[in-house]
Amino acid sequence: MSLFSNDSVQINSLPSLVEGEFEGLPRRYRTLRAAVYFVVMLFVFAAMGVLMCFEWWQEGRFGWRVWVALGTVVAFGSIWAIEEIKGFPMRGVVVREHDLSYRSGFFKRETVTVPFNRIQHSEIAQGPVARVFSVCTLKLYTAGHSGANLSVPGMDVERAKRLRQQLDERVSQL
Amino acid sequence: MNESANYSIDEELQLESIQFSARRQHPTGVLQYVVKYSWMFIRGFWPVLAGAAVSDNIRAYGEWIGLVIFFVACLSALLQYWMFTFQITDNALIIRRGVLERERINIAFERIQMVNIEQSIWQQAFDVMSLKVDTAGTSGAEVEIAALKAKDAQILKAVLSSGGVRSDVVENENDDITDVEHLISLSWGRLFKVGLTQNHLRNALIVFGSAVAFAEPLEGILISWLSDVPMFTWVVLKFFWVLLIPFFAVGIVFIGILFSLVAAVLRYYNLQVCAKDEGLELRGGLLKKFEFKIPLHKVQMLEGNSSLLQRFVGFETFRIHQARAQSDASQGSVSMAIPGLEQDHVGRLNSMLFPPISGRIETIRPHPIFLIRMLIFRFALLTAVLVWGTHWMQFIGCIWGMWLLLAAIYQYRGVQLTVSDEQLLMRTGWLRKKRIRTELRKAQRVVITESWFMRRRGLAHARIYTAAGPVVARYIPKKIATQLRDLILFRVESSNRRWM
Repeated sequence: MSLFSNDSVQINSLPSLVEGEFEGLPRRYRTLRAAVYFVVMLFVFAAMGVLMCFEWWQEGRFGWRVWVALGTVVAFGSIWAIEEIKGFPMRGVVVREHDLSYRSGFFKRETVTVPFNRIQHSEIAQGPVARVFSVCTLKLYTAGHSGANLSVPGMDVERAKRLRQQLDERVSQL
Repeated sequence: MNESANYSIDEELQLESIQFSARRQHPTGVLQYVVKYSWMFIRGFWPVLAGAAVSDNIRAYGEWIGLVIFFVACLSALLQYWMFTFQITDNALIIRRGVLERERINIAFERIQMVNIEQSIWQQAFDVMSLKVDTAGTSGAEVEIAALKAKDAQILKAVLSSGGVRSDVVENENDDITDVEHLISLSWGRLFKVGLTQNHLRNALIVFGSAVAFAEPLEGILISWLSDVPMFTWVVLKFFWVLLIPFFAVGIVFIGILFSLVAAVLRYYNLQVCAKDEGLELRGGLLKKFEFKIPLHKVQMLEGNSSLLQRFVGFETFRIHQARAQSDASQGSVSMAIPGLEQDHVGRLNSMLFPPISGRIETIRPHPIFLIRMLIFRFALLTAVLVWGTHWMQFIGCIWGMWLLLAAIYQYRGVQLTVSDEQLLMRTGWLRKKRIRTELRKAQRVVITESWFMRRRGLAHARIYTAAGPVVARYIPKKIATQLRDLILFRVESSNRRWM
C-alpha cells in the first residue's frame, strides 16, 4: 500500500450535503425560545416605560432621546422576532454515516459540519429552563482551541443521548 | 505515589528504565517561582500599589510592604515547588500540582503535540533547563516543568517526543550524527540580514515607548539637569527646532534598526533546523536557548510570511503550526518560527512536510463584493475627516484615501485559494504577504456562513478549521464553497493516516 494516495477525485460525484435532509428541532424548543424572547422584551419595555414616566414627570413631554431609544428597542425587537420566526425552521441537524452537520440562522446562516473521526469527546448540557422543556445542548469537541466546536441547542434529550452514545462508540473504535 | 519525590542533584533519570516514580524539579525551580509570583502579585495589585504609593503615610512603610510581598512570593514558591511532582509511566506523563486545590494532569504520550526546552542565561549557570509540553486539549492544557538538569531535560524531551520509546533515547545519547539531516543553518551573515529586514518602525516605537515609561520616574532628575542648560540654547532651539526633525527621524530609524539587530541576534543566534527521527528539530538562541521538536505527522499547517524588505533580499519567515490548545501562540502555546529562509530552504521544508501537489488544481478568488466591503469600512472614517475636517486635514485625507484605495485593490488581488486533490494553499496580503499550506485531511470541521445579503448573491464564506487554526475563504460562490466542503469531508472521512 502506498503512503500517499493521489487518485483523481470527481468533485461532482462526491456525496453532497443536501439542504432538504436537515431534520428540524422539536417544537418544545421553539416554545422555549419564544418564552425567552417575551420575557426579555417584557423587561426591556418595562425599563423603557419607567424611563418614559420619569421623562414625562420632569419635562411634561418626550424628548428626542426617548424616541430614539424607543425606536432602537422596537427595531431590535422586530429583527430578533424575524430571526426567531424565519430562522427557527432553518435550524436543523443531519447525521450522515461519517459526519454530523448543524444549520442555523436566518440573517446569518451557518452550517457547521464535524466528521466523526475528528471528534475528541462529546458532552450533553442541560440548564434548569431546558430541563423544564425536556431539551438539551449537545456539544462536540474537536482537537485544538478552547470551547465546544459544534453546539446543537434544543435537541430532544433521548435523541441526544442516543446520538452521543453512538458517537462515543465510534470515537472509541478509532 | 509520592514517596520518592525528592530531587538529588546527582540523581539522574535512568536510561535503563524510562518509567520513574514521582519526583520534584531541580531546586532552582524555587527561584523561578519567586520571580513569577512576585511579578504576578505586582501585576495583579498594581492599582492598589499605585494608589498606596501616593499616600505619604503608606509610602513610609514601602520597605515593609516590599518585604511582605517578597515573603508571600517566597512562601508561595516553596509550597508550589514542594507540591509539584512529575512522573513518567509506560504511556503518560503525570503532573501533580496545586497547593490549596490539588490537580493531577495525565498527559498520554500520543496527545503530546510538541515538546520545547528553554534555557535562560541564569539557568545556564546552574546547568538547568525548563521544559514545556504542548497538548491539543482544552485551554490551559500546556504544562511546564520549570527547572530540570540539562541532561535530564534532554532525555525527558526525547522520551516525550517519541511517545516513550526507549530506543529513541539511546540513539540520542550514542548517535548524534547519523539519521540527522541539517535543513537550515543561520550563519552570521544571514542573521544580520534577518535583523535588517525586521519591522523597524514597530521596534523603534517599542524603544520610544520604553524610553518614555522609564523617563517618567526620573522626571525630577531630568528637570534639574535641563535647568543647567544655558538660556541661549533654548532661544536658539525656539527658532531652529524644525532643523532637528530630520536628525530625530534618522535617530529613531537608527535605534529601530539597532534594536531589530540585537533582538534578532538574541532570538535566532546559531539557529539550526534539522530533520531527525521522523521529526523536525529547531534549536538556537543566545541568552535564552531553546529547542523545539515536533514529529512530522503532527504538523498541521505551514505559514509563510514575508515583508517587502524581506522579499527584496529573497527571505521568507516560516512558522510551523501544530495542534494547540490556545488559538493564539502569544497566549501561551509553543510556536516554531524559522526566519531567513531562501527559496531552496522553502522548497526543502515544503517537500519534507507535504507530499507534492498532484491532481487537478483549482484556483478560487473572492467576489468583487469583498473589495467593495473593504473600501466601505476603510472610507467610513475618512468621509468624516473629508466632510468636517479643516483644509490641511482634507488634503492629508485625500492622500490617505488614495493610499487606502491602492492598498485595498492590491490586497484584494493578493487573495487566492489554491486547492488540489489533497492540499490547499491560501495566499493573502500585499506588502506583507502570507501563505498558509495544509492538507485537506487535517481539517477538523468545515463551516459555511452566508449573510442575508450574500445569500441573495449566491456567495458564502468557507472556514476550514484545523487543529492549529482556521483557513478562511471569504466571499466565494456558494456552489464552490459547498464543493470545497464536500471534497474536504471526503478527504477527512476516507483517510486512515495519522493526522495528530
